[in-house]
Amino acid sequence: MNDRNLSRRRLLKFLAVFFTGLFAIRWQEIIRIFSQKNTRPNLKEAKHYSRSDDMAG
Amino acid sequence: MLPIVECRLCHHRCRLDEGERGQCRVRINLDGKLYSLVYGKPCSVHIDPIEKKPLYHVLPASASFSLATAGCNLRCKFCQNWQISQSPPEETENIELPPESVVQEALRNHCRSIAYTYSDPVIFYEYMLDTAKLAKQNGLINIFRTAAFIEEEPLLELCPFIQTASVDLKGITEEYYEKMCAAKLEPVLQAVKIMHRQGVWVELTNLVVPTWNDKEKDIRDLCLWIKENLGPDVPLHFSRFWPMHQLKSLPPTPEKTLTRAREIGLEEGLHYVYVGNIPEHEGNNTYCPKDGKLLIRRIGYSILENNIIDGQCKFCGTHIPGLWA
Repeated sequence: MNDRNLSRRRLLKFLAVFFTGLFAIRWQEIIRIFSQKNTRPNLKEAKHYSRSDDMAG
Repeated sequence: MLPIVECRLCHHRCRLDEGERGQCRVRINLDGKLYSLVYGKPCSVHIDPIEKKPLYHVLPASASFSLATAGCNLRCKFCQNWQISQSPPEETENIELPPESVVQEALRNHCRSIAYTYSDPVIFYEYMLDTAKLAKQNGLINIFRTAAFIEEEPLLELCPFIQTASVDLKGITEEYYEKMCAAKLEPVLQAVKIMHRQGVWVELTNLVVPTWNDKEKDIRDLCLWIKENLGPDVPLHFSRFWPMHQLKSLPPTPEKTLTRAREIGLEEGLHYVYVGNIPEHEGNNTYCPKDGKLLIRRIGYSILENNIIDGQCKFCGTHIPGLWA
């Protein structure tokens, strides 16, 4: 009986750690997705500029 | 050695080493080429009443599809949108909205105009220009809401595609521009004259900041410059300052200061002088310069009465300049 209780406790502990860990990972991922700013620049060559090798002087 | 790049879009003329950005925070030298970092990536998109721009002589009571990206080429201490204007694009929430989508969304939402606004659209010039071309093809009006700190060449390229400009003429002295905005006055005055000459409908806004530009002489000089260089029909909006950004210690502009500013404008012969940011002030309304009758009654951004018919005063037939239809 004691052995069965011990096994059950170990199993519950394992499941608790497993799902807590899993949830924590997913939660971090969820936070990352929602807090992600759309910061990837759209590089577009600009107008109206000159390079030093084109400049006089 | 990779070449230095000089940005010739605004009068800062930033000279950028490889990887360096301009004062606007959104234009960068990469491999000897200048790139915009915010093309098609606005951080603010709203549908506003056109009166908010403020434009009082353009399509009254219509909706304007308004957008901005991060960044600005000025550093105004009173900036009301400093969270976006004084940030690089990495620090704002941006969405993907290419020019075609801007026009589609504006049409879908029954907007009659697209306003490039909130920050200064000069810094997202390429995005604005491409959008404005498409918008014009689709029968929309383009609104350039700006401080007009822009070089002549890009401005002349833009003018054929914008129908209206709401320009912040922040003060009338070089000292004010330098200390308050980290910019220069003269190029702004030139840009305003160019737009006016090119047939762009221009309305000017002057934010009256207590102790900074609220002296009677400053206001009179500003009105005189407008009358002499643009004529009496260019509307002028005196706007109330509200403590913001780096000027939180100042009080809001007293109502009597704005009332007096409007009186000075009318004394100097300007036909359309308005008071903004004070709802129910008589300076919110448009009056006929000939018979003095009330033409458009406004409360805040709402139009309560409109007596302009086909661009004319309903009572005496005087032509009221603007874009009315």
